[in-house]
Amino acid sequence: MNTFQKRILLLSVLFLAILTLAACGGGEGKSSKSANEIEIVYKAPDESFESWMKEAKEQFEAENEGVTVKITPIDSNEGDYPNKTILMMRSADTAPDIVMEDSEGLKPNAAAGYLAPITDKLEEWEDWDHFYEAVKDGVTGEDGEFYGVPISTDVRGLWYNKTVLEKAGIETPWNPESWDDVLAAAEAIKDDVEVPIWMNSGKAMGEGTTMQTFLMLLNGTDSDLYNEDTGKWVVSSEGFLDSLKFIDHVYQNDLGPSLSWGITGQAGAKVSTELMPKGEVGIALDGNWMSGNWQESGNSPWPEWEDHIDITAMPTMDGQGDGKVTVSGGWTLAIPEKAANKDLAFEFIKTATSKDNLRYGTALTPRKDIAELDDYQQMTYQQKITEFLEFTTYRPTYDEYPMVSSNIQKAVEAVTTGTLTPEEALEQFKKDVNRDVGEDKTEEE
Amino acid sequence: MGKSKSLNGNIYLKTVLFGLPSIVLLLLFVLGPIIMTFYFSFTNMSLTGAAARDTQFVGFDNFIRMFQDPSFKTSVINTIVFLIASAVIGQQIVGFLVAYLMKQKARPFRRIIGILILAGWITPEIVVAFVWFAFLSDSGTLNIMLGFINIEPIAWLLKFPLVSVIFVNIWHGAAFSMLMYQAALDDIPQEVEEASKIDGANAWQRLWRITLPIIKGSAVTNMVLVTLQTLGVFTLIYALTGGGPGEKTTTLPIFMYDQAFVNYQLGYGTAISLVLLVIGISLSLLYIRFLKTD
Repeated sequence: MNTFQKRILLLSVLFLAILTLAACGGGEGKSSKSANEIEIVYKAPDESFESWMKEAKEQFEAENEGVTVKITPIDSNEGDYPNKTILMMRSADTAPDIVMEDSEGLKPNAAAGYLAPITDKLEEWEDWDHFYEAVKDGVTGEDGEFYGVPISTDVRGLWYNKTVLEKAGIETPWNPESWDDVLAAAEAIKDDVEVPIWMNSGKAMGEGTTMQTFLMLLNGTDSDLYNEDTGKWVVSSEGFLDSLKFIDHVYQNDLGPSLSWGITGQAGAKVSTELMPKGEVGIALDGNWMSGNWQESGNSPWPEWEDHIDITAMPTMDGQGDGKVTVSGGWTLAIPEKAANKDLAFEFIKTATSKDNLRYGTALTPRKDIAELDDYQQMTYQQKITEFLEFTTYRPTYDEYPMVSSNIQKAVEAVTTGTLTPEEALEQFKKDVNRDVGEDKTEEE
Repeated sequence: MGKSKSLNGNIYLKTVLFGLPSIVLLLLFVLGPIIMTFYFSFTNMSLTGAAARDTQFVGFDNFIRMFQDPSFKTSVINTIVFLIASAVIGQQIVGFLVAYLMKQKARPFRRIIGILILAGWITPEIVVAFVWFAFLSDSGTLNIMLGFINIEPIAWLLKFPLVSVIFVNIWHGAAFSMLMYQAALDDIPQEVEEASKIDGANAWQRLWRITLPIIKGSAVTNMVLVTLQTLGVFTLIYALTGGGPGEKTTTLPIFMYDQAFVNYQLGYGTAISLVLLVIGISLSLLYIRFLKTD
């Protein structure tokens, strides 16, 4: 190699290095989106959401010349979806114009400045009055502003297999009046099915374990998780212990699913799409959306499901209070603070959530005027399920809630696997929450 | 004199010039994040909630909380057990044995065995996790095989979770050590081995007195690499057990992920990652020191 070649080599190496560095620094602040495009992201797979959005998109694009609506699926499980969308919302480069947002994350995400307040826009929209007042609480931030438009609400209850219960001599329609009634029914069908009673009981199901299982129990006792008067988390209570004891009873007596798959992230899908259609599940404490899987457009179509499956409300512990209990959450459409086309985004939300368009699978509607429609009432059990909204409760989704919730999941899983007794798990929960949120924010009953 | 000095200066300049791009990149992408991590671990940084907008310096709060957290202690113990059993002992010994036994065997034999073991290594962690999840499940291959000798199915991931993930990690990682040892063993001069044979050393003596001392340097290098790789294993455990049941397979990376992305406590998560970094650095220094003593 002569000197000239060496110099050329040296120069090209330097040139390459500079190019690499330049490439790393670029791209700040530039958005590739055009002014006439809005992007909406949703948690996939969700065929109901997708087909609803496609129809809204067609209408919106026809009504607004030159506008494109981009529907982007985010393949994700329950636990990762909030992280993925938060990371997108943190940068103007990646922030979508509309995000399908779980009402659980709405308050903290609003407090973090990720979401844009839309109170002014909503007050000018005549349709806003048609939304249930209770559901509007779910889209209100801690500062009192609205941060989203509800697209669904939900309740939880006891799905049960009529055929299985009848065979065991239990009268249907089944109306259990206490936890003991539920456990007795599960005991009666123990030998007939693979899973006498299904409930989310692991850390892998994330919020599902807190909401579909634990809060459905705790809210049926006389204790609370959060004291609204003092603004403190209740880390130790009689009701908390009773709830853990219920779970303990289920698993120690083999009334639950086999733990080898029952506490994994795949368990929920296995139960709803595989075991229930096979008639191998007696009772399932789960959300009202479960039947969505069995519709023609669902993940596991099961045309005869109505002949076998019914739903009833979860009873309170000893029948106290209303005698029944449920917990509600729901999904919303929200506009990120860093969205490029906020006004156009809101116009699209209006179109998508109008009386004529808001048809989100079998989800409970947040609009009173839709709930009165005949075709809505004709959906199986819809009227019965909508009645659950009369005694429903909402979660205290304040900033510390995710930490409290994951400690609940930890306690539930420990009891489920028999690692800890209910008493030990309660003690651990108390310690964990005191440490994680600070003792000044907790109290004992 | 003068000429050689200018030549030296020229070489120095070239060294700097050639080194500069990589030094800049290292500063930017390695040292930068480490300093940021160090800083964030002293804040209440959060992924969402009010603390995400207004991140504050909280001093040693994260570290105090960490050392009071029994889950942290559990994760440290799990990490150490996982590290020693699967990397330091498992992968090293399996890797060495395979390499040693394959030495001077027929070429086709070496090829086939080598490819089989390498297959485990080149398979992505997430695929390894799914394969083993199926293999170890209630009605999986392992339980079917055990069924032939009349052993009841065992819920491996539930009854022996840590042992299972250790085993899977050995299966996945042994090929790396095997390659390292193969290269080292091939470097041993044949004359030395032949000389010891003529002097009457038996196979055991040759292994203990000749082979091992010669490859000691490679062994330590391999130890450092395997340790660092294993400390960072996340996908494999997360996909197999999610850190459970309970906290039985929660290692530090899993614990860190849970705190940062499930509880949204990024500050606390980075504090945990800092501890992980310190463990990695200390172990590497320890190994290197061990190498220098002789």
